Amino acid sequence: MRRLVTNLVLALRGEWHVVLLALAIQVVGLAFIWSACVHDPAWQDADLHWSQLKRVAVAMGAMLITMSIRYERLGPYAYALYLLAFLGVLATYVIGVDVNHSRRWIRLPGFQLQPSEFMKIGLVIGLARYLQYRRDVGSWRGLIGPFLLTTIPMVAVLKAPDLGTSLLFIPILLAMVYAAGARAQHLRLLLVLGLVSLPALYFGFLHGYQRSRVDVWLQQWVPTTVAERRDRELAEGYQMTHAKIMVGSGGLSGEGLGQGPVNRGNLLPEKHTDFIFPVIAEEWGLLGSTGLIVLYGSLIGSCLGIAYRVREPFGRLIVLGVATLFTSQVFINLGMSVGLLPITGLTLPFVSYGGSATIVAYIGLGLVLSVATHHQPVVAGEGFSERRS
Amino acid sequence: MDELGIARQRFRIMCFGLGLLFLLLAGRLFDLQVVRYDVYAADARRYHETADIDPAPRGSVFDLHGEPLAVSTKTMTLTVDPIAVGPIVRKEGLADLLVELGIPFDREALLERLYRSSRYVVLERRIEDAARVERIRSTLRREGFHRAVRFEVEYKRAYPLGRDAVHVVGVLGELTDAGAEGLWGIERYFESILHGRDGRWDWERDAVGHRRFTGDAESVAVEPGADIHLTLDANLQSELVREMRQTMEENEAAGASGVLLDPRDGRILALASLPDFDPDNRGALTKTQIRNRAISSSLGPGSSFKPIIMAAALEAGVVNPQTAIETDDGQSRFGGRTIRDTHPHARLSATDILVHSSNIGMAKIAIRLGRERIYAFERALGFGQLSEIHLPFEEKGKLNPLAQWSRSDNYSTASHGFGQEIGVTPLQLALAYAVLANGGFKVAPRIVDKVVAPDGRVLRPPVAPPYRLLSERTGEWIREMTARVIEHPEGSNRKLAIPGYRTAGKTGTFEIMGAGREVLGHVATYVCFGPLPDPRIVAVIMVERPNPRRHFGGQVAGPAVQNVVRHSFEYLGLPRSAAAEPGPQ
Repeated sequence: MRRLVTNLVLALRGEWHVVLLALAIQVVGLAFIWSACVHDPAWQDADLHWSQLKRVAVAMGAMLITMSIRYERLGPYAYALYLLAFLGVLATYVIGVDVNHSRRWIRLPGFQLQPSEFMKIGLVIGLARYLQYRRDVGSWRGLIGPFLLTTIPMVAVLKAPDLGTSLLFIPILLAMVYAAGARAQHLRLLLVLGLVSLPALYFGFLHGYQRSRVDVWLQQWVPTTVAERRDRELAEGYQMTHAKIMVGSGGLSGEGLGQGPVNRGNLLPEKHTDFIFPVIAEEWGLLGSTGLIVLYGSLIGSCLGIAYRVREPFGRLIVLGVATLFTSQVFINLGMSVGLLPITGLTLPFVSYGGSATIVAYIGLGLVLSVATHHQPVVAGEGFSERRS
Repeated sequence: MDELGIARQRFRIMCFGLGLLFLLLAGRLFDLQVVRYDVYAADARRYHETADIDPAPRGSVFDLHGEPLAVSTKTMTLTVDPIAVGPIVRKEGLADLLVELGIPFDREALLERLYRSSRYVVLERRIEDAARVERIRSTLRREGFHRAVRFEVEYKRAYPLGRDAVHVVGVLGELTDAGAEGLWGIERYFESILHGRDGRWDWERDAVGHRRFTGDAESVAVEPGADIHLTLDANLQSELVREMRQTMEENEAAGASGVLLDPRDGRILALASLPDFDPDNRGALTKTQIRNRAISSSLGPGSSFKPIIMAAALEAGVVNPQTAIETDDGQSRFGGRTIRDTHPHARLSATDILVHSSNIGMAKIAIRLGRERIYAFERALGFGQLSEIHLPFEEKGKLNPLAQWSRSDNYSTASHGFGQEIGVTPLQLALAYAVLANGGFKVAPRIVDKVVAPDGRVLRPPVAPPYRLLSERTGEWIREMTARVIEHPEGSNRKLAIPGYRTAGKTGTFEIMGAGREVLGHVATYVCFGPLPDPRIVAVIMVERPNPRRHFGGQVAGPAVQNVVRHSFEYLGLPRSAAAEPGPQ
């Protein structure tokens, strides 16, 4: 045991702060899972903060195991891992459980597994494996491979339906091919095409409820009469309205943990999972909510810093992929909580209540730490590579 | 650049992008939590805080003798929270039960209400029968519906005098979120006194409807409203309205307004305006019905204004009752226009100028008096100003400032002599006549006699003390001169005398002119006070636009005032005047 700890301390080298930042965010998360449930008759007896703590313990175990594996050894198994995750996603169609009209979960003895969460890590590893040492990403043809690797599982997740998770795949793809050397103008063109095709996606792919969420999001920018606003608030705009009310009524410093009047009113559904941020924003105000953003920024910034130092492409791309995953997830979750983006189901990493999502977040962190601690120290000077090219 | 170099350069760009995204989030948070904090804080309160109002019993309004003019009775309103009723079986059970209990809906309508997604549906409003309330309550409790169904106290306002006092007493507005509120009359003017303070039970509510009390003992305490006792006399009020209504119907008039007051202290005994409405059964109301003409119309007084200018002239020493004035055989030119008298005379004494209502005589007296003194006296009597009676929506009438009077000739000055170029409210006219009647004292109008607080304390509104405006001699002269108008054997107003009582008065007929100086209609006025020598009553009725066939003040307003005054003398049990001449009957 002592050896393990010693090894861990040694292994972390200079990357302590990454773990500390994640832990700080996790503590905030546990506190607010408690706060979101303590006044809620539906949950107050469930002690969700304790069960989440147990999950965090399991997740940290997963993180330790992941970081202790030399990431280079994953290389040969990368496609196998990718395929395993993809099969998991497909399995939900056969043996999945319906929750809220969505088949995202597989019931295993003792717990439920959400394969789409694992697909995110699978995709990062698969893409990193595919893109390492590949010289043709600068051409359109070279983009086809990564594009297919991403869109096939993405469509499978989307059809669950799990729009929120599938949305994360696009930024992961773009960031990873960008870092791998794809031409900027290609990506720009793809982005423009994507934006242009948004209306088509809206009319062609979105389900009725998803479309109405987009409508609500769009309508908030249109000035209306009070009566119209009331009607909308009571109907489809319920969640966004109440999320914004919670955030806005928090003010500068909020009422303190567990003291938010709107939180105690239990008007916002899912406030211990996807919508936990409004609780934080209400009870800790602007200071607390921006503080959390600073923590996330530091965590992700540290990951990017690690990626910057890694000279070897597989590790670098993995870290970048995980950092992009965190960034997108935080941005989309916070964005929908404050009305910047339409509402979609997505957890806040290290904060929201959840099993698979928590474990995946820690495995991602474990991958980052594995790269940070196992990448080959630089032997040659910086100039060496310059000359080679 | 090699692959590593490109990657590192792009990392910097991505770091920059990350920073931008998070700045965007922080900016939005600043927008919601600081810039628009007030909006969202208010929304938050609206969503999770509710309040039940325990209405304070509203104060009553009484007349001088304690007759009720507005009273509240406690009733119960039955409401239901459909969500709390429970599943279909329970809803159907409750619907059956409610039909049995005689709630005025059939089963289908009840079920429709019980299936609403609202949390508050009214089932029956204002149940007055306390025994029935108890029966409903106990039945519902026995069947286990008491959590879903609730009785709320609601006070029902009744106006025993009905439409007769509606413009003075006013009405209560329909129930709103803030509770009922006085809309017009005393109900509005003294809203805060009558209302008292409602008990307020504040709750915090959550999504499943659990409620937690967040108020305090002070906020839930109910303070009943205070009672207001008016100077109004229900009997005289009804009599005034009855006579006004009759003359308005007979003469097909557009409106009528009247005031009855005690000239000794300015107490309003009756004040009415037609057309009116039924306070207990008002549908859609027009502005015409709502308007209290007695305090808000601006009407030409015509000849009824003559005693007022005469009083000013007597006080100024310009004339005395016997002063002879040339009246130019009924036709005289003043500046650019001709003034005519209906009954031509060569010359008349000041008294006879009133008796025969000579326009020429009054014009000459007014010119002798001069515009400054006329204007000062009119202001002193309260024309062109609010009387500050305790009723809402009073108007000032119309009295042009001196600067706007015609200067080249004495046109305006002469006109004021016989009640032109001025607009008065019936109340202002009555108050001016009070000065003539009481020997020269200006009195402030009083409509509220006292306020009786719920704890029994009696509060009286402070009243400006009367002050002398006319000398004793002028007061005596003008009273007798005005009495002469009625009593003069050759006067046209002899039939307005009241047998057994000496009264004074003056009729007026004002022509409402259009832009092209065509006559649009008339205002028929009669002002009367009596009994002499110590008048107790001043009565004014002004009838607007009677049928032109018969439009003179003495014909249209005269008999109505006469009847009201006769009735009041008898009702008040006033002793007959010693020097009373026998009446025409």
